[in-house]
Amino acid sequence: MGVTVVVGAMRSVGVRLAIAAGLVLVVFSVAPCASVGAPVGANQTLVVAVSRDMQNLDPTNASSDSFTLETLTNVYSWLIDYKLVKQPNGQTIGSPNEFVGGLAESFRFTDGGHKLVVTLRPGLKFSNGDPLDAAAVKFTYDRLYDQNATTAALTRMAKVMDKDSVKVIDARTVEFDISDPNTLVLGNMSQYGHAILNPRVVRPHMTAADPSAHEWLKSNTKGNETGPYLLESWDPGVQFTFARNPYYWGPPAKIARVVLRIVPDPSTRLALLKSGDVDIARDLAPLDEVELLHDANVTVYRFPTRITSFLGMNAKIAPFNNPKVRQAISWATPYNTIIRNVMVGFAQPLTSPVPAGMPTHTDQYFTYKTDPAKAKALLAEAGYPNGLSLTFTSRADLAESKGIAVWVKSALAKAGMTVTINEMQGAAFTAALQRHELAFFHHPGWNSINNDPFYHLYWLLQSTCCDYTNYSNATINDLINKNIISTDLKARDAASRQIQQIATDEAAWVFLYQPDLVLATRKNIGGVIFYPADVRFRYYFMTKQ
Amino acid sequence: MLLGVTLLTFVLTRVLPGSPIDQIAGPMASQAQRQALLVHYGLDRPLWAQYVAYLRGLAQGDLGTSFVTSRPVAADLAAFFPATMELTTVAMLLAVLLGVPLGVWGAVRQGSWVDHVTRVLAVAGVALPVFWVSLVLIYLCFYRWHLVPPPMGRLGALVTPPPTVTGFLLIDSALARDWAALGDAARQLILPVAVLAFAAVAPLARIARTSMLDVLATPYIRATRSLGVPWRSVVWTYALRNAMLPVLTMVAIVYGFLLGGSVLVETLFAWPGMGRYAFNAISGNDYPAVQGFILYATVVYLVIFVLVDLVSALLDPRVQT
Repeated sequence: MGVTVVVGAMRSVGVRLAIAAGLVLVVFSVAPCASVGAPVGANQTLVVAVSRDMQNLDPTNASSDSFTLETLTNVYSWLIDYKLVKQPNGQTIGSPNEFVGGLAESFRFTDGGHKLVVTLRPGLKFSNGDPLDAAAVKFTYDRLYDQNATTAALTRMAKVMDKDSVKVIDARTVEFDISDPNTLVLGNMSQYGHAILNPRVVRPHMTAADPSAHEWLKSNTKGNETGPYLLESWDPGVQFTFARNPYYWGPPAKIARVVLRIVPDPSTRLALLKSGDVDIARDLAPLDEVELLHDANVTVYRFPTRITSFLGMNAKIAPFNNPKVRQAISWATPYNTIIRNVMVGFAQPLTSPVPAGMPTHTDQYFTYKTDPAKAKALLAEAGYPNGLSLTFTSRADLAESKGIAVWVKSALAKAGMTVTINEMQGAAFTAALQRHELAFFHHPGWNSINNDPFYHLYWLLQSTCCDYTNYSNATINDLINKNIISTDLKARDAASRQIQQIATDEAAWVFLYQPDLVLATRKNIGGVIFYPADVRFRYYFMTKQ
Repeated sequence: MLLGVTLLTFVLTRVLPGSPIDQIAGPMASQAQRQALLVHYGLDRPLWAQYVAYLRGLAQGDLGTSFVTSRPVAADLAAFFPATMELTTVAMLLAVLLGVPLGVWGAVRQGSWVDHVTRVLAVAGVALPVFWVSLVLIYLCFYRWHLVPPPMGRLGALVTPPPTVTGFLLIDSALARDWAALGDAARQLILPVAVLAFAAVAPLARIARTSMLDVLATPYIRATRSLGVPWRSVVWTYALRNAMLPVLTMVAIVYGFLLGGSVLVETLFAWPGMGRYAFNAISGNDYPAVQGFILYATVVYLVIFVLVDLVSALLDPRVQT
């Protein structure tokens, strides 16, 4: 009977692959745990089953898929990095709010915050043995501003405005001019986009048609690596491998080689992990992860993230331009059901546009719960006493998006709203999202790499790129503009709380959840350290017994 | 014909919803950056100009550069093709060796147990979805019984691939006298080959049986038999050759179809083949890759059908006229 229920539910969602995954789940849950163990002599190699290939590895203009960014994070180093701190629960994390030198031996703000002076570690080298000095840093930032892509925009956002703002003082010292002192600088610099590049390697690939050597950097890191690993090989569609970087500035990585094998099917990845043929399986189906909690040979790590997942309601499209309609939907949404059934518990409620874990977050303004009667009343107040017909857009290629669509449809029906589900393929969905054309949709998750509330609020509630719901409020805009570049923490705190109150009251979005980051490894794998800021794993710390 | 195909795919890829720029540019990209990318990839030009540029490249053997992998599409196809070719060819050989004798036997011994088994197999091969058969085989043969290596591609994660000569691992590892790699590559092939062969046996056995029955019912076979020619000789010398023509066409259709790559089998077995390449290209709106793949598929069909025509002419001289 269990089988019937699972298969029946899956079929209603309508994916053949989901049925397949479900079947495997059912089959595996009856199966005893088999373990053949990793081959002898493999102890220094970590084998990871990943779901997809990397794409564009140019650090300053990379594609935003997770394995591209993970590779950049493992093979490159940057000047300033997140500090490792021990939390009260004993777990060590890469703190999103505290910073230490990476390639920098030290750094300090001078001139009332108008200058950031960075001193490089002595004897730094790139992975090909070339020296890394202040000239390389200058070369990196010149290229970054010339290219004028995503990282350049983020650096300007922190008020390091142009090439001339980056000055070489001596072979080991670089100075960054900051036109307006602010709290964003360190957070915006602690990421792959600020990887220092080797001028001797990159310059020969700069051409008139491609002055930033983007085409070469998209698929090459050789001779440029400064991280604990170098990209040893990349066989597109098959696998990519990391090997220890002999010139890494810190203690060498504990594991000599990491093989990242592309295994596109989640049930195959699950089978490989359970049989011990891989050490780590990524991106498993949430239901499989729950089942793995009972597997004695597997450790399932769960890390709470600051990723915000919400239902977008386009404030420029009727009836969502009426805050009462948005509130009605917020009162009708089945929050707990979605977390329990779709996310199978691997999520926490999102209670504000500023997620829990980000400074200034408060849930005191979040009063919504699932109350169809209240939703109906609000709908009547909004001028729809006889209910409403809505179209909800979900992504056809994301299981959680499809699940949410079904639950939203049934919950809104109880409040008098008839929902038609419109499934869109990933590429089409992204295009419509970027053009802010979606009326009512599920946003699977936004992560702000800088753990700064105004950085976060700026992108999601104000910027032309990413205010996907076209929500706009004059007071909020004013508060963001006043505080984004400011070091007055008290004023920022008050302003952030005010923004959270307005956006929650006006139901800017339906605040859904913050998903957990889950990692399933074999029991003998240790040293899994979570970085909440960029949610990327560092193989550098990992061990294999 | 090829020109028609290029025009059709060019237009079709452009009307797909979404834009490759959305995949290339990150979510934070500004309008200016998007515009710069459009110019970089030549997508700001009018469609006809893009098409002319594409044709001009094709004339020089340049299929364009993939937006996603940023490698020449021709190089990508060359890298992914051997994986599919090797898998499909081994599966096809197995399917022909099993399917044709089964079909012929079934026709000759109509109503015998072999005939019934063949029919059941033929129905099962068509009715059971490939992904289901794959999952069951992975579960039983790999997970439960450890008969085959883990389904993670053409070689185990810790096996060093032989130097690339042909791209076919069986051949390359044999050339390099790397017997460990040869053994591993062969073992990795077992399950996906079994799945594809199982699916391909069905149409082959069916067509072989029907065709053989038709031939056996013709007047000239009856005449031959009435002249006292031994039954064995009737079947193998006179009937089989004539019955093979439709079988050959079916082999060509199935083989051509499989060479397009099976997305499901390649996904479940982590097989880096054409099916997955095409699937990723379409989901990423990677125009040059999609166009390159369709052109490849067209050429594969053309080549196979030309070969079939040649072999048909050998089997049946009447075809030549």
